[in-house]
Amino acid sequence: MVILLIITSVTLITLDERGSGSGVFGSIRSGAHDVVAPLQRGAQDVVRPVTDWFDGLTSRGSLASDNRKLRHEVESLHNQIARARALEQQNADLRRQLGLPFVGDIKTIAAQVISGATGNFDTTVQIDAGSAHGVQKGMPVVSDAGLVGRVVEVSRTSATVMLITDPSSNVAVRLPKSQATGVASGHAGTNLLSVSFVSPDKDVRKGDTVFTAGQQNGLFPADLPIGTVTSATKTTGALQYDIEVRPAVDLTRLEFVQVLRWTGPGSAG
Amino acid sequence: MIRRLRLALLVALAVLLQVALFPHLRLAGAVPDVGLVLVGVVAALEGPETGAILGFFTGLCVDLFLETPLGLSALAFALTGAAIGVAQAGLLRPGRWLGPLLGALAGALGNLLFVGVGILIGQDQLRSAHAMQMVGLAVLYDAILGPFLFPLATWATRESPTSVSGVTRSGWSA
Repeated sequence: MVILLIITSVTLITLDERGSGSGVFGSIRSGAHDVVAPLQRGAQDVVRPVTDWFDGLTSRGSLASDNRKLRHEVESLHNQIARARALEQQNADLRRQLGLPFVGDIKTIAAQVISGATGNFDTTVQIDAGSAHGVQKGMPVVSDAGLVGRVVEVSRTSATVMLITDPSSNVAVRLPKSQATGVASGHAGTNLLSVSFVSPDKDVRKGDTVFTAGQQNGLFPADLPIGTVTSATKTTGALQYDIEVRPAVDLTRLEFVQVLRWTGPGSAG
Repeated sequence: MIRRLRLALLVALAVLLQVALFPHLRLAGAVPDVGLVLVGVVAALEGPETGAILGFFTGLCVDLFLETPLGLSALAFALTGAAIGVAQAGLLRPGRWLGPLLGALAGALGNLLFVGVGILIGQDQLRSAHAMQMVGLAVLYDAILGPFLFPLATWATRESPTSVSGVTRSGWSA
């Protein structure tokens, strides 16, 4: 019996690998995600207050000093409120008109993150928008700060987004300040990215900003913010820089994202 | 028949908890392997064949929600069920530590098999020190979960005959 199960498992693995997750297996997965998505959304609503409470406990030591500082700040903030209200209205109007500044004329689909990765070895999140909302496999996902990842699995009502910090994620990038280009990849277990294939002739420095390169047949449109260089070293004789980048988006606290209706060059809008 | 239905219900519950609830309750970034621990406990009560079959189907359900190839968890869980089922006949002794021990054992075996086979089939993201760190954390979480799943597994399998090792179900005191 055990041998039979091993053979069946290996056959399934082979078939799924050859089909690249599409076909019958893709449909079954998609159906399973549809069934579970409402439960994930419900669990998110129920569990969030509890996790927030635990977050509060871990920062208890600093609460007293924060309280004193905040009392002083409240007074000055009162004065600013009146002005802020006027600016807020203006800001809301502008946002409605402009949307995300770096997205350009690409249309977006708003979504909420409803769950993290199911297993211990995936770097993904589940969002509450799926094919019924226009989401397709491969579409880039951004937040207000920059690139989050891309859609790797779509069901009718939900989708799986692989984050840019996943070890199997590769993004063609450019560093405008130094005119350098390279490939940003994820690191298992860290929230940093490493950028490879940057020529040591370029002058890359800590603090430089990194954007998507938007190369021909690339997975992402150009000029989406990715992050900031935290270290850039070049060893004597090395053929490339050793660059680390901190993502612009805090990927550990994602709540709302935008899926770009972009599946390749020429698909904008 | 009723026993099988109860086991199926338990598997469905474990997978739903794994997919819907525990991603929100990570400890140091790790989630527990509810289905895997269930397989370990049932294998200890019922023996290798039931452990392997339950492991295969539980793993297959979990695979539907992972980015790794379909069948990878099924293989890892089935082998874990079979191994714990064999071990319970000669190595595992009843006692209060049996629940945590089974949880940890199932977590360690299942996750190491998952990572090992995953690397063999080209899942390069599993080839990292971080993957081993996650295995360690998951094993701790699974050990905590073991005693909670033991009574459920005992309930689901209670109509079966005396276990392979000759220890009656009431003799397991975890």
